[in-house]
Amino acid sequence: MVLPKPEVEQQTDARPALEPGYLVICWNDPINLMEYVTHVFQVVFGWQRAKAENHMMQVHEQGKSVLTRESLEKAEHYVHQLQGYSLHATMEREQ
Amino acid sequence: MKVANGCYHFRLRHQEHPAFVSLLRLFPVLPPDFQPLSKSADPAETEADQKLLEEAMRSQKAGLKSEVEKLLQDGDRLRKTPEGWELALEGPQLEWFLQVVNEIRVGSWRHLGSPDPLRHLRIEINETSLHHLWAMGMCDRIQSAVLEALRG
Repeated sequence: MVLPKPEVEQQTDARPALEPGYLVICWNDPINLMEYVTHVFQVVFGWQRAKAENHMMQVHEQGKSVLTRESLEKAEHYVHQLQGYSLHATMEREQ
Repeated sequence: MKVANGCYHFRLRHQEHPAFVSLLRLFPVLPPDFQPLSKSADPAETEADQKLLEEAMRSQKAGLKSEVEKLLQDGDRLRKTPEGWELALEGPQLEWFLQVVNEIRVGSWRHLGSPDPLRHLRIEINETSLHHLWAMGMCDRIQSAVLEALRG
């Protein structure tokens, strides 16, 4: 009798192991109107108003909000878009 | 302000028109390199990407500046009426218009030293700071009207 080999769990993470994630972050500032920030999130990410408002409130109350986690290229694209609206946005490498 | 067939109409009084034109002609106020791409990355590592960002910002500002000039010359979108002036903008136009107005607002604020109203920092009043305060106030009113219109 041959015992069945134990199954080796396959890696299911679709992300290539060596590809780092980049976080797109919007930082609080005292100049951009809350309504404007909500609007920009809706336009740039295609979010519903409620989700955009949640992130806007996070920026306002906690000083920043991680808007999305992306590959380098996509994160750059979003930062370009957000900075094009004069929001305080950067991308940071995920630790 | 009124909305008709997806077009947003904003009314200006006669005396507001020159101020409106002067305000839009301030664009761009912010330099293309006013923000870093990343706060935590080693600048040496992101130098090429930072340059790309600045190039993208420069190109975007040039495009928006061109839109502003076209708008100011377009007698259909900015037209004189018996009561004053009327500005007519459709959806995509409203979007770049918002970007322009906010850029002037944020840029003027930066020229004032990025004061935080919550910290009650005092701004030295002189001709230059008054000009920036005026621009911020105008932009604030316009932006609020546009956002209110978009919210419906």
